[in-house]
Amino acid sequence: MNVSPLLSAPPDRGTVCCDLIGHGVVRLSAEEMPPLRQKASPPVGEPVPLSFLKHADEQTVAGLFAVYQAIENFNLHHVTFADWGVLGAPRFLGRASLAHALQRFADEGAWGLSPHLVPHRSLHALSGTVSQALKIHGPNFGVSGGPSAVAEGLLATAALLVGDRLPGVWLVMTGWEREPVLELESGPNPTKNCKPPICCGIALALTAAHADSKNRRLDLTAAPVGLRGYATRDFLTLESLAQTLIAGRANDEAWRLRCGGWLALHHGAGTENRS
Amino acid sequence: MSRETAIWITGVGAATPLGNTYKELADNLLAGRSGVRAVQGFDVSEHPSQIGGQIDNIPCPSGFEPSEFAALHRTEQLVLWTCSSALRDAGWWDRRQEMRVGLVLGVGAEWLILWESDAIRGGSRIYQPEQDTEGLVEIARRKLRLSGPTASVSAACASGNYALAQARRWLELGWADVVLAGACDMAVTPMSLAGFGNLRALSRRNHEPHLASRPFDKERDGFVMGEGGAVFVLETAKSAQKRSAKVYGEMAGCGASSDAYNMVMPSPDPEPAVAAMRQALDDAGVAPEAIDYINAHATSTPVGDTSEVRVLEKVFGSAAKRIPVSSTKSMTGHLLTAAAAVEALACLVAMERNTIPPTINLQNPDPECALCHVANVAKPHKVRLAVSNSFGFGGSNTCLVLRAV
Repeated sequence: MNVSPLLSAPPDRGTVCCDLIGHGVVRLSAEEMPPLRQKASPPVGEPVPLSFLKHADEQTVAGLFAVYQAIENFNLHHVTFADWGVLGAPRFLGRASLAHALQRFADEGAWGLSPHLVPHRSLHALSGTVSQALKIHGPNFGVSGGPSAVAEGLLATAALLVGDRLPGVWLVMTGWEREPVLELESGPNPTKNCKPPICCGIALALTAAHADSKNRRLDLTAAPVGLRGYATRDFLTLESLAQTLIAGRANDEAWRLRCGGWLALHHGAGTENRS
Repeated sequence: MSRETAIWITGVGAATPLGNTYKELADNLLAGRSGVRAVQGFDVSEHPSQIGGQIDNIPCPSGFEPSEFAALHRTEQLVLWTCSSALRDAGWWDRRQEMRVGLVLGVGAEWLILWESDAIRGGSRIYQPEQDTEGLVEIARRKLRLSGPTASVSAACASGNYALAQARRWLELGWADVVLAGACDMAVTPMSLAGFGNLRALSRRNHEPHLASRPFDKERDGFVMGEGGAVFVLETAKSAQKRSAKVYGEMAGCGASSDAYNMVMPSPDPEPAVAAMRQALDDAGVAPEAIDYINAHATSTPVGDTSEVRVLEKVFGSAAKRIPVSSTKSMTGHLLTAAAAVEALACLVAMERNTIPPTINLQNPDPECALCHVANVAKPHKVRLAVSNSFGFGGSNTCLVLRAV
């Protein structure tokens, strides 16, 4: 990951210190989606109806299962999520669905448009679905929806955690590693040796940091433009974060976020990392 | 909260179906005018709902080249107009590069609207992901030459309140000196009009557009889509006092919760929304009975309006029968992602003018919605504390408390 923690820098005013108590990373092909839609019930709490994910976007499916994976892998079954917050930071949610819908609209007119397009392809759809699945009654909202989804998601999460006295926040980030809409237009082309579309979902379970915590810590701040030593938001991508988290399961030093390492979100371009 | 750490609103920018300046909007709201009419700009003959609150032309901000501005996407025009107007109104425009100005905007379907409008013009941008390199708030930051943090947030119709809540935290954390916060939405498009129409959420009173948005009225049959936005300049009271700034009000409290019930329908259990309102009042340090005006979310849907009444009755108890309530959506239409921001502005209008904007078209109040309605005509009333409710798809409930300074 190109975002290096600044191991020597102490948290200052404006730095929000979080414990990462769990995370999940899933990478799903289009073929893997349909069976998962039938198994939408969470590993904790009440089951959801079989049709719960019927109209959900693929990114929502990936994000929800990343949350479930985090609960399973980090044994979060005992945690009460009812008062947590949920932030969903998808990247270009609904592109393929809208491409289909535009075609259908052109063919059939207004009545041909699915009523599920708006509620399930708007920016809030991911967070709303996670909130509903886990019966979370804290705040839920979508962030960014574009190329800066990871950075904006982390920024908004920090502000939410520090401000609203929440016990924790799920930050769920999703995106296609290769957009399926490319094949929608031209069809699969095996001669191009393209990677198949893979939908990535990452879930971070974050709480306010505790001094005696043995969890990974993530310290977040927004740094002024041009200040050397801060990672730029441009380096924060879903793919690099996924790689780091996957590697970090085997080797905690890979992310190097323990023991006061910090990650600063920088808003602007042209700076370099200090490590 | 002490006066030094309080967060004040010192500038506003707006573009709505009732006007593109604060004064124009205020005058029209208090005159009880409707901004709803037959939808212009595309063929609606096959749509179940054919009416909306639209903006004709978004003015070109001073300093921008008019021909270049005219070529921009309308959502981008809206963001640039509202943000630059707010900064000018606050007196920060000429000094914006001397400080960290943050930007957090409620924007609900930025990319869907962009791809749709491109497709309508014959483009194929939706099939070209490589073109999508910069989001709206980043474009705005670059063009307005801002240097603070940026984010776009969405909780559907509650987005503006989330943006304001984020902005307040950014200021408290010292992430920015000034934050532009609000919400913008140009959602009256063929696809969204059809989508909401097919959800059966929209009024079909196509033959009399100005009468179609009628929150709390027995004859209501759905909401009317609107477009526009409002952006506020937020800064600490200390900063505002230091420069003797004009102050619209204090962002005194906010609360948020989720129904965790359904992506579209409000929960039959009022408790989650009640919790959001109580959280906001607690955050502001005010008792429910101290509130002078409630700007209700009330969109004019049969189910949503009565659900909100149940919430208000629980939060305010007997005071719900005497605290004036109105829904300005009766005049603007429902501005979706931008609704909360525009309605916060309506609260500031009520404070500044000491007059409460009415719910128009409230000819026959629904007995299930027995509140202290400001029906059809504005009501002179001293407003020191106002609350604005905004609930959204995805089960979001938010409440904002604004205090006169």
